[in-house]
Amino acid sequence: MQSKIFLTLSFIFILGGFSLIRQSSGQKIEEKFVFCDIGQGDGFVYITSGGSQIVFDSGPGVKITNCLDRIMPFGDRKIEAMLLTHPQQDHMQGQINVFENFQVERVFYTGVMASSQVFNEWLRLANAEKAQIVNLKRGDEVTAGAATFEVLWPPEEDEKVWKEEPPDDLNESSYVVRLDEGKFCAYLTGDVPKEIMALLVTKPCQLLKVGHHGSKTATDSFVVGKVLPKIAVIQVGANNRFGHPNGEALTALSQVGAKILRNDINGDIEVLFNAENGEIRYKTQKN
Amino acid sequence: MIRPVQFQKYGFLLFYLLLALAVVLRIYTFRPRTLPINTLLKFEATISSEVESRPMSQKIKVLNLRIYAPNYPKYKLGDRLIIEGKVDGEGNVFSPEITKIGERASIKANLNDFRDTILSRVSALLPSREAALVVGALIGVDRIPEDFKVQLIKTGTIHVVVVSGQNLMIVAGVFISLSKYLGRRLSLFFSCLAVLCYAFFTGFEPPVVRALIMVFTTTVALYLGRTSGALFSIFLSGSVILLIWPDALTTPSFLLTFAATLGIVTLGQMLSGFFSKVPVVGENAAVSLSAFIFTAPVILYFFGSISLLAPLVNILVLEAVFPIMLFGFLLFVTSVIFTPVAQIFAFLTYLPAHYFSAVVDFFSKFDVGYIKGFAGNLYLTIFLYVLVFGLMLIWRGERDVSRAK
Repeated sequence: MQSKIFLTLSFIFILGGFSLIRQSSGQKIEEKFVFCDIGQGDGFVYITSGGSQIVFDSGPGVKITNCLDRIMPFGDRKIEAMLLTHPQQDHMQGQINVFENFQVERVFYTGVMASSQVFNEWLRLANAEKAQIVNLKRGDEVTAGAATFEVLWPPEEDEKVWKEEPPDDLNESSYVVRLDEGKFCAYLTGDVPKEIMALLVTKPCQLLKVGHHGSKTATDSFVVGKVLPKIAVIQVGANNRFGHPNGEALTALSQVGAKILRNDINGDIEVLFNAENGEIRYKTQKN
Repeated sequence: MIRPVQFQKYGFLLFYLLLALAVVLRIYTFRPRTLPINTLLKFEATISSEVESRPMSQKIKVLNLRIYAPNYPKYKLGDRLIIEGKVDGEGNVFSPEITKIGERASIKANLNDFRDTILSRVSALLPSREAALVVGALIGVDRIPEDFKVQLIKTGTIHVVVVSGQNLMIVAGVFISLSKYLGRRLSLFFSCLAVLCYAFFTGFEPPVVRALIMVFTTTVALYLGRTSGALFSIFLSGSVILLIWPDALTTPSFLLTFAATLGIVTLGQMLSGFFSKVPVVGENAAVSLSAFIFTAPVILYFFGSISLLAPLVNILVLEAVFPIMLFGFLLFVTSVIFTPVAQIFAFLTYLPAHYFSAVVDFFSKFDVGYIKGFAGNLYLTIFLYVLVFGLMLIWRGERDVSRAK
């Protein structure tokens, strides 16, 4: 038994030592996006240089939690902010699991209600979390480290109407956000249709989170021609029943020379940037 | 304690023949309560076993039916429901109409709530894989992330995180190993108490109770008696289980527990002498290898795949199970009382749990020795057992001859 106790303690101290070395050698935290491989849905995280996390959507199922566990250091169980683009299961179910496993400080959503049990559960947990719940609208800005997120959609007047009577297509109410920092910018879309998206793009950006999982309803050559992304990330599940991503959307992205990264092919995708010169690079889990 | 030596030779044989006959009769005449299949059905039921939470649905078991409901609203043990839906030919009901009409209070339901409380506290302190390991190993709660579950199955380590006989044996073994300090009687008492507590927190589900009976009798017999006494206990407890739950004969949980226990008591004892020269992991190696060899045919039959790397992975991770269970238990207690202290234990639990998870993750990437595609092959299963017992007899014979020389 003594040898067992000795072994256990040695085991703990050796591992403890390694993990401390690993933590302390973490040096400076790089700002980055991590697009999690969560199946057919959207779910990604923006990590600030200070190590804070902003979670955008969370996909179906509970895979977002595994992704957060992988990218967050041990002991950090706090999510500084979580944004829900629109209340559909493939964007919100994982957030229920995030509420259950992490402490969420701020919640951003449009205030548009959905008549689903998943949304009821999401709302119940968001309120139980005692997080600060904010309904953002067009023109609002959220600062995260050195970056600024500007809300491009939906406008206040539409949001007011949709809070009373949700639109027939909830995708229309989806947030579109642009991150700006130095010479770098990124368009972060939900499922908003391309007709709306075309009105919102005012300047080219290095990164495009492609709308609606690469559906042709959200992406066409006009939108892509205005964004001119260097990297286009498509959050899509393998062999999904919708046939996403659409061939026309892929062609449009290829034609502007965008590097297309897909969660179904590349697994988790990290996109890193240098705000000073606008350079952008990526790492993928596979392929 | 029943010892075979207490029986006259023929009396013992007669007793066991009668018992075997009773078991066969019980199995033959057993008619489980079932609900009709291939029909539209509306019925009222109380959930009496833990609801399985899946990524896109929740699975509720009612007699022979498996009901797949959307994830929300969440149902739990003790909920009284009216269920209306189409039952297919295999007893599955997909997306039925469910109306909750009440809750039935019971110790089991209260225990389930308590386990949920512990689970939520632990989940708030540990990453999901490590949290799943701790709550699985200690209170048998199955909240294993899907990808991790696949890795655990592939590496043959799933038994650590689901309720199983091997898991109960670890709990018993921890206290048995304290006999030098506590004395034989006291360590045996604590080991039985710990196993009982474990079964209590897992809600006394039939698979747990069956594993409890198997492990309890075998541990006691092995500790007090000889291998033959333990063997007799295994067959006696197996028979008792089948008399009470004849349907256990077709459940993988019972067969795996039975096979693992039988393997540890027979082959494990033979191998322990061989492995005793191996420092540190010698005993673990004997237990892991013998349990693996005896459970492999059952795993192949039910799951159709097995990894030959499983014994190696088991030997590597087994040392971590003791600290996971020890610190995990302290984490449970402190998480309910005082969170800052719980954070210290969370860190201490995290280290071995993370090691376990990393080893499983590493070995799951190898396809070397990964055998697939023999599900439902009864002849192969029988052949493998005949082969194992045959080889054991030959080895035993050779050992006796070399000893005689």
